[in-house]
Amino acid sequence: MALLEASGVGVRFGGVAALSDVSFDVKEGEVLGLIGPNGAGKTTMLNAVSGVVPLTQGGITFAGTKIDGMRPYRIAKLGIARTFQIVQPFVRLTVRENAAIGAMFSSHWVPHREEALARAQTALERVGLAAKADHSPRSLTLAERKRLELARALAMNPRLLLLDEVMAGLNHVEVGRIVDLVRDINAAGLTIIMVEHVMKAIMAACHRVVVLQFGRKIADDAPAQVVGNADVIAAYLGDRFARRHQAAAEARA
Amino acid sequence: MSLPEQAILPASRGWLEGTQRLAMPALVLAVALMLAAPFLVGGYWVRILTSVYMYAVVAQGLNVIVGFAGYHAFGNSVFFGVGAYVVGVAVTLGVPVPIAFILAPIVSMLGAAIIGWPLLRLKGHYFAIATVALNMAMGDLIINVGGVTGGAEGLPLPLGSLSPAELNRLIYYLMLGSMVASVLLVMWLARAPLGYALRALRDSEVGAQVMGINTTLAKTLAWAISAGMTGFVGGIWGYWINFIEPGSAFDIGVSVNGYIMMLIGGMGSAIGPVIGAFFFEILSTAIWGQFVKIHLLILGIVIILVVMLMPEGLLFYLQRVFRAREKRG
Amino acid sequence: MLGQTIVNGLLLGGLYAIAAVGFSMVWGVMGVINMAHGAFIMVGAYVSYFVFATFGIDPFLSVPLSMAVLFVLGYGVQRLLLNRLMRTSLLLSLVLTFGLDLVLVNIFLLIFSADLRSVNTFYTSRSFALGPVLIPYVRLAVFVFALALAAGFYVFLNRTKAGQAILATALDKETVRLMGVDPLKVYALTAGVGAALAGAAGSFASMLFPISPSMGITFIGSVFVITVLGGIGSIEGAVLAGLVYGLIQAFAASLLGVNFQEIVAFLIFLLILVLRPQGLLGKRFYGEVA
Repeated sequence: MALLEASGVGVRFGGVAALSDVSFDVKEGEVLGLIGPNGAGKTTMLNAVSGVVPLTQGGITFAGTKIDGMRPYRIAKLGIARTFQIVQPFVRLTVRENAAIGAMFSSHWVPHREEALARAQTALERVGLAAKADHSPRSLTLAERKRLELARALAMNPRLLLLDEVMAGLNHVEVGRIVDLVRDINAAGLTIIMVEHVMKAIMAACHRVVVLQFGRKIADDAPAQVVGNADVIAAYLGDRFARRHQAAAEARA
Repeated sequence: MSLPEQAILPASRGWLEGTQRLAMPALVLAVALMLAAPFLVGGYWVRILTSVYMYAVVAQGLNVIVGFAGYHAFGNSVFFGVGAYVVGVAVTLGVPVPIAFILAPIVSMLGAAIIGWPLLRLKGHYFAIATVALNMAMGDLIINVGGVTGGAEGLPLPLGSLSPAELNRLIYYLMLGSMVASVLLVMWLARAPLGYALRALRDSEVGAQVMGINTTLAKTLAWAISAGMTGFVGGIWGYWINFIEPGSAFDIGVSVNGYIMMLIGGMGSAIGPVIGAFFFEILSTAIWGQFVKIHLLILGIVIILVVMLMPEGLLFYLQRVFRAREKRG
Repeated sequence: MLGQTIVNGLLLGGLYAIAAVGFSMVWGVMGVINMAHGAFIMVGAYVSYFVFATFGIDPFLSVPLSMAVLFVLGYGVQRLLLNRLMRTSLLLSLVLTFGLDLVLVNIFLLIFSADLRSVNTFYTSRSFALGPVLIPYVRLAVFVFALALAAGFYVFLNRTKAGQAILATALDKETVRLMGVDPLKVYALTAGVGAALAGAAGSFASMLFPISPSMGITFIGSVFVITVLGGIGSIEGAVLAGLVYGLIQAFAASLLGVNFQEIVAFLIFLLILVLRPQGLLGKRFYGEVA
């Protein structure tokens, strides 16, 4: 049984269908990439899984439990954590306290403040932000804020992590670092869905890729197959990428 | 970090760490003075101080719902009035006074929990004015219901067995105790999960929700706590003045004053509202003393000045001043 | 009886409408809840009273004067005080305008004392009959002028450059800078116009009821409800809501008694906020500026 199953998911906002009939699985331990042009419905999908947006059709189950229709905080307590595209740290708390929130509320039993802070510290160390633990989030650079987003999610000890364009705005060195971090986290057993535009990251980290366009799924395959898929190339990747990728593959062969 | 600076740190930075070094002696002295005041100064000042403590609690109540949760309950004075009327009606019906004092906050908290269900869904300004409307409506309701509440004519309370001086002294200590309790409560809140939940949801409600915080519950609890604090001192006040009428019990000025004290003193910290209350009441009294006719006018001008010059409040203004000095020194 | 109630409600509704339009606009464009709006109305009323009592000038003629005086006041307050706060918390503007309200009311209390004053012209108590319904001339005139003013304001907003600048700034204050418009100047203009409308409402009010420095308090409550009912920032909404509100008040007064008017108002208010926060005609991009 897959860890997460989306079946026939549809989400409408007024007259606009942000998602139509999207179905896919995520197996435990996998890293699933979710790509597509802007407006394809990728963030909406993450919002649907985390309960922020209600489904108008279909259903989502997590570890066998139906989660569509659940309030976001209950889904969080079940073990799903997410980051946001536009990072929004809690500015009135320190970096460590930000991460501690995750530890404090993510299970049904609220741990003691000290324990939550300790778990937060561990999470911060994992993402490399331990040095800034007592600072205000306002003093962090964009790359550091993204890592804080990750730390907040990790402190929740989740089973499934949803990453929403965590690479956006980062230079290629920073991207490389986050990719390594994602792979480490996954190696430790965490299942991940990553929405991304940075193809380099998708290729490097994902076991499988789902492609959305206009709210519908147009491909669901291993990364290597997806980049060769004609529909995907036409919809999103573009010929130039396809040709370069092909050339690189041939050069290696 | 210098002593005066620690005195004014927001409570979230650790309560004991901050206050212990804070001129612990100064704090002890202040509390000692406050405890001894009725024996040191005349009745007039005892009454002034009682008022200060009362307003400090109102401001502290606002601190919880506004400072922590970020919901601007401009009409929080509605709970003050509810508390006053609960005590008034209960005592008139023969309920023992201490029980009446306990009932007041309980009813207020229940009220907040019930009305919070629809109202706390509103954002920003909508919530603020909904609370103002609530305040106005409660006053009207009392007038229309009449009966045991006395309606528009007011509700006189049966005289107790205490002499005026004894009564004033009792109320003084009750209010002082309430104020101290409110400070401790906010200090606790700053370190408790609820306090973190509130500050998180204030910055980003969705962000808080996806991290497992039941924001509806957190907000409602915050408002209930705020209402309970306000209702408690409202009830004591009602007993103190011995005659409750809707105009003064549901006076929006109570809320406004509380707000200004909270702003002056600094939101979010445990002793900010207390400082604000002292500052404001002393200022008010001084002005009243000198310029009886135009004291409201001066008050208005003071409000404008404070907002323009020290929008973050005295506390944080001073904090920045001290920090700047330290950097240079 | 029914007809009379309807007429009473509509006529009064016109006054309510013009009282609320300026407030709604200011809130919609800049997110400022002007707690001194009631005081602005009061000042307008006193301008008309003063001019009438001293020079005998008909109050309808002094409307432009009170509008001018209030424009200066509103513009000045925004330019000198509120504009500095626009970047910080909007809560502070609430407190500031509250302080301003205190100052204005008390200045007028000092000058004019709390005594009620009336503006009584030769036509004040005259009315004509339309079938079974009695229509006071003054009320009808106020109604007509109030709606005309609201219509004029609508035209100003939609057909003049200044008005367009205001609308544009409400939609997107960053982009508008790229077009050479300074949002702060637009805010000052909006505040001035909003105050001017309040001044007009005050002048009209002086013809209908006795005035006193604390008359603003009765207005501010209704103005709030009407603004939210009509949709924050929507003029048509404020006008429609003003008329509706006048009707509801008239019916509440005749059916339940004058005391219930405020409770009815609060209930409506609560219902709107919970069921349809954007009001009758509110648009999404106005309001909710916070």
